[in-house]
Order: sequence, then C-alpha cells, then structure tokens
Amino acid sequence: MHKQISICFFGQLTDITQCNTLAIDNPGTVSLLQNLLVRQYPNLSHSKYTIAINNKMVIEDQPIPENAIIALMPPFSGG
Amino acid sequence: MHQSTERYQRQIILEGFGIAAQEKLTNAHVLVIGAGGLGCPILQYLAAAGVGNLGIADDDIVSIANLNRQILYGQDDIGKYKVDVAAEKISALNNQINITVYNQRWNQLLSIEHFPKYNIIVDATDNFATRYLINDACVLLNKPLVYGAVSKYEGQVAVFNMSLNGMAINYRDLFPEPPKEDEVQSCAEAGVLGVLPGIIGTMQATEVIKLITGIGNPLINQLRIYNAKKQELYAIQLTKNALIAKIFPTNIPEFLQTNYQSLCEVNNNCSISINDWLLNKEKFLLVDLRELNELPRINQFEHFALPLSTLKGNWKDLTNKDIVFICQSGIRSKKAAAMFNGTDQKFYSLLGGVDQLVQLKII
Repeated sequence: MHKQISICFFGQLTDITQCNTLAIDNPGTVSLLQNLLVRQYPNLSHSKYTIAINNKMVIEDQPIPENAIIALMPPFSGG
Repeated sequence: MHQSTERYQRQIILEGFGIAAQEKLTNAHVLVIGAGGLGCPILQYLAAAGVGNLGIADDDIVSIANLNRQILYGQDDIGKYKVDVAAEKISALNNQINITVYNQRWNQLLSIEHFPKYNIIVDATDNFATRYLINDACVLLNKPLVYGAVSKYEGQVAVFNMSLNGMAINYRDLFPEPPKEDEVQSCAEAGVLGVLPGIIGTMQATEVIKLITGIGNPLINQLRIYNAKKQELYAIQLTKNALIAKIFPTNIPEFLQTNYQSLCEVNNNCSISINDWLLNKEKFLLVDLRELNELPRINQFEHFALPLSTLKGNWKDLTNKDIVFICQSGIRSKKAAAMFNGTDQKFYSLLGGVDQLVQLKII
C-alpha cells in the first residue's frame, strides 16, 4: 500500500486536468510533483498557479508530508 | 429614535457593534474600483450599512450582457455610464452617503492622486492589468486592499497589505507576475455564474465592514476560494514571497513608468483593427473560431466557421488569401494567429472580436 496525497485543482486548471481532485502516490517534493503533473498534463506548463500544502501557501521546493492535501491555485481576473 | 440611528438599528443592537461601530462606518472613506459584478453588491451593502463616503470608479457603459450579475442596473440603463447609474441607485438607497464618481479607466496617476483620501481600496475590477496596478499602488501608498475575483463557478477573496504578526501580504506575494492575456480566460471568454460575483462581492463588503469597525477576524494574510458548485470554501494561509522584491516598482516614479497593459499583452504584431479589415475585406478570408453554440453568429459577412477545437493546419487547401481569425472578444483569435504565423500565408486576429462588432452595430 503506497502512501498517497490528494491534489485539488482550482479555476481554469480543471479545464486542463478535467478533474477537481486527484489522488496519487507521494512523489516526495513539490518540484517532483510539478514534474509529474506536467508529464500527465502538458498544458499545465503554460499556466500560472500557486501551490499550497495542507492549506499553507508554499514558495520554495520542500518535502511533501504523507497524506498531504495539495492545492493548485491559479489567478482569476473576472469581476 | 433618531432617523439615522433607526436606519441602522438592526446592526447597532448587535453585541460588539453599537453606536461606536456605526460612527466608524459613517466616518469611513472607501473606494470601490469596478462597478461590475463584484462592485454592484459591494456598493449596495456598503451604502446600506452606512459607510459614509464612497468612491465609485468605472469607465464602462451598461450592456445587456451585464444584467445577469450586475444587479444595480436594469434594462432602461443600457447605454448609460455605470458610475452614473450606480451613484443614482446608491443615493436612492441611502441619501446620507457622500458619493464621488470617477468615470475613468483606473490608472497610476488616479491612484497617486486619490488613494490618500481613502481608508480602504476595494479591487472589483475585471482584468489583470488593473489588478496589478491597484495592488502596487496600495503597497506604495500603504493602503489596505480588499481583493475579490471570479471565474466560472469559483471566486477568491482576501485582504492584502494589512500587517498582522509583522507580515503584510500583497497580491504579488500570491501571484508575482500577471498572466498573459491568453493564459487565463476572462468572464467574457469563460463565462461566470451570475450569483457568484454577488457572493464574492458580499464577502468583500463584509471584510470592508470588519476592517472599519474592528469586528471579527478580517482575512488578513488569508485567501478564501469559494466553489459555488460544491458550496465549499477553501482556506489558504498566505506567506511572504521574497522573490517579488526584484519585480516590484520600488518608488512612485518607477510605478508611474510601469506599463501594466503591456505586462499582460502577448507579444506579436498579427492583430488587425475592425476598420482595416472592413476596408480590405476582399483580401482576407474570415474564419470564426468560436464554438458553434456561441452567439451571435455572423450572418453579414462571408466566412468559414472553424471552431478552435477543430482547427488543423491545412490552410493552403482552403485559400491562398491571408486569414483573419475572429472569436468572441479577440483572445482566442490572437492565440490562433500566433500559432499559425510563420508560413508564407499571413494570419491576423480581429481586434475586439464579435463583441466589438456588436458594440459598433456592424453585426
């Protein structure tokens, strides 16, 4: 049984992923997760988004804890 | 009971509110930039709550496509300036409010001139260029910024540039640089559920009232993402991004020199104005990139309807003419023109798209 993490996609990122949430094996770090996601969804590399781990925004690469909930948040322009 | 006290009686009797909080609202100066989907409910609730001095900024006129969400406006207001109608409706709701209207597209000079008069700035705009401009001005002039934005079924709300535990987060900490125009779709491109800006705008008004009165815990250094489909609110604790120091205008002269519009523009010179196209129509083949369910359809001009999702590159089979792409607002057409240019055929994007043709009564 692998240790899993959940990923929540917000806004127009779901147009690329075609799903709101995804459960995957923990790749270990934020940058490894990003590489994995871009392989799975190449158009994500053209999108701007900020990442949060367990409801806290992260700036730099860091380890992803087991059972973490990751959020990918794009900017919205509409008003 | 005094008339103005009676008007606010339901909130004055709240525990922790009282006459003191009401007086703070009466004395407050709040500037709402954007009188659209977010701005309408923000203005209504702030006026109803008795915020004494309201600034309203917008340069747009009311159109029928605004009416599914911009609830200050009615059918009879189509063609009128939003700021004029909004000011009239707000005055009718509460004539004790001092209203200042700015019938202009918000810019750097207006920020420098007018932000110092206000206690709180509210971002209710609909484009990234103005959002980054307002954020940077708030940081330079040290003004609290109540931020809200929507897309399709989701919305974001936050309070920026207020210090809490020695940290004041701004919009650039969250999203350092503006996306290019074609990276994120606007409401005109992606759509928006009418009630959504109502919900997010009302949340922004709530934050303004909390900041003025000191009641509750404002969303300082916090982001909330609301999902209307799931009725879920996702909470994010924000953090300072040291990397933005390099890209931030550090003083007012630098701020004034920043071209916010061009930060969001895609670099290419393959756009064509409606005038230039109309004058040389026979030289081009017009290709409508919109999906077949997007309205209004073009009946007045000979064209091919080839939705972007079905586009292939065999243009030579279709025509030897240069090609003008059209979409709803000019964003997809720009993307397509950039995608296909580079062969001996030229590809152009019609500026403003179908929306502009409708506005100019050409179709």
